[in-house]
Amino acid sequence: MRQRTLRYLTTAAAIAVGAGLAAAPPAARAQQGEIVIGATVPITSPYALSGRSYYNSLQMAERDINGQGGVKGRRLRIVFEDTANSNTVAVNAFKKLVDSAKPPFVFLNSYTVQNLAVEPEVARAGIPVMYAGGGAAVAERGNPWMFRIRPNDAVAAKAAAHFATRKLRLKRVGLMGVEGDFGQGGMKVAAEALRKLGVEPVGEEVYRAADKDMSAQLLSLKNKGAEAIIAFTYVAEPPIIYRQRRQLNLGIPILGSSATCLPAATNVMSAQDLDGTYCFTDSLLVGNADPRVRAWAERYQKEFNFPPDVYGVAYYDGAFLLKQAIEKAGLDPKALREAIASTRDFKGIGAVFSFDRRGEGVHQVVVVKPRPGTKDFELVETVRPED
Amino acid sequence: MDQLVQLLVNGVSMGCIYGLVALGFILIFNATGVVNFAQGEFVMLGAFVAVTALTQWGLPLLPGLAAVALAVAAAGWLFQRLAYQPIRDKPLLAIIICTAMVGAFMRSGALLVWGPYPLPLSSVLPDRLLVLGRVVLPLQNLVIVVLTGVLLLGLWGFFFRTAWGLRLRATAQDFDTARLMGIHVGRAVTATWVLGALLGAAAGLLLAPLWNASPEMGGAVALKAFAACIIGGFGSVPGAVLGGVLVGLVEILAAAYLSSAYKDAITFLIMIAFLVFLPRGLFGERVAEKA
Repeated sequence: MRQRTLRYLTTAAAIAVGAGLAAAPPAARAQQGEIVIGATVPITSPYALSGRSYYNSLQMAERDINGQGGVKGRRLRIVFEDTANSNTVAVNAFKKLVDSAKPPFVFLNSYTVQNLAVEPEVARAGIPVMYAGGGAAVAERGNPWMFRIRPNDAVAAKAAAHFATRKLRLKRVGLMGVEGDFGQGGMKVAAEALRKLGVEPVGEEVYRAADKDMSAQLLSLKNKGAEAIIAFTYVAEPPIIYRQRRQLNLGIPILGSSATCLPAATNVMSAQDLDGTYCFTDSLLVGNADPRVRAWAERYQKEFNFPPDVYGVAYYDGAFLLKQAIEKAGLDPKALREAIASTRDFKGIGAVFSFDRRGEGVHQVVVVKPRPGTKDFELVETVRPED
Repeated sequence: MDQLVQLLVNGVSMGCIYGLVALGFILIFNATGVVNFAQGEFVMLGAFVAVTALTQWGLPLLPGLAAVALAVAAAGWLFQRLAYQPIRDKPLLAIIICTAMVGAFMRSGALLVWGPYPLPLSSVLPDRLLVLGRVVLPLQNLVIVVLTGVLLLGLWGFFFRTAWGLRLRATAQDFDTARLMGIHVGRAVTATWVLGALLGAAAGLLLAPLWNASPEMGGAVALKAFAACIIGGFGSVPGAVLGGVLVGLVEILAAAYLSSAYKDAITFLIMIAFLVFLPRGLFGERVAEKA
């Protein structure tokens, strides 16, 4: 009887999986007149935490572009492939997209490690891509096909050092960051910038992305006399770090990288946890004085039942930037690359884009802080560290 | 000195969580010989179900906790029906891989059901600070230590003061003899899986107010709990708890005084040292003793 039940369940599962596969959309092939582009996005795994926002905003951009008559009268279709949290999956996703859909353009995701892994394949495919990973190492490779649609981490790190020393007039600053190219790279740039400004960092503490207790690092920096901590984090850790800062009664501000004020993080923080913190990010979306930005943020919130973030808006803007480039140069990859590279002062929702010879599109960050007793952020200032 | 006290409290409370998860590993290992690589997923499941019951549905604390216990017990029962019973006669390695695969399925399932964003659970533990002179201690961490103690005491009472506990212990000792004594071994094994799931969920309930519930939260804690089992002695109940506390202390003290970047390396180095020089761990029994 048990054997029969098991066999029954197995057959049922096989049928369900089979039916699911049969119901899945056919492989990405361009319909008559359609322009098919690709997007490799982490839809599953912990990376989906930020991947979800640009998965949403790219779909929103696709609908909006088609609603406005498409690209040169042709419908735009974005084919997605999941990259999960694995470099191998990301590389395979890109290759699969390029082989099956033969797109003239692909959006890569916001994770530097995956951007670095996919970079050789991009060079091989010879098609332009846009990416949002902040690691300086990607642009340093000098791949002419890669265009970054967010400020790189060095911009934010330098801005944090400037803000801490010039605006807050601090003399003793601690650094903290997640292990890896992003966190430790950001700490390195911030440390150099601080030294140039005459401030020696009191300590540098690292934690692993999977860590859930950072009290030792926080206490260590406090004991070394830090008056503030500049922190480079992914999105999962800020709720823990900020709560522990309050619970340990540290009483010093944290100047956090952009993930510390993403809605995915602040949604699970309390207003007390955020009190006395600053965030270096691309732009202020919710609560922006510009009605165009505010309207976009409200529409995103309504559509996806979750607040928008700077990653999402970067890809939304990227899609419209691409539309402009295709309208100018057509679908030939080389001509399209030239058109993207020559983009100057493209005013998107979240930023103004001008690509330099390294493919860097955004050159400034904003400093935001929560309004006292709330989780609503307000603009403190805009920083262009190169100035 | 103040810093040391704060670190010790944080280390011990984290260690208690590791101990609870390690206890789940040990119970199932003793009863079946299987290392359940999905034990961390029950931590995650407990946290998510608690968020749904207490925060999203707004159930009062006690009925909410009862609902969580029921749901996780059902999940534990289903888990052993799917991942253990159908292949229990197969090589151990196959069963262990099967538990890991079902664990991956549970993580993906959680991602589908609850989404990728962390969810808060604030109503279970008091979010206050205890100020003792210059030392500020989060009440949550102290409550974790006390609740773990209460849970362990309850478990001890169950195992050593009830007939069901006796049956479970007998089954863990020797299947055949237990069967000869009239114990329904199958039921005892099922009960152990359910108990293991409940212990994981208890850890999840205690952790969620500190970490928030997220699909990946179980993995981090399960790995440390596994190290705790090795250090304490795989198979030993007091060893699991002590091993957990030791791991909690080592990682926080290593991060504070040696290197925050290498704290996990130090923890696992100690685990490897135990495997090489003291494979029985602190309290483990000789393999021959159980045979």
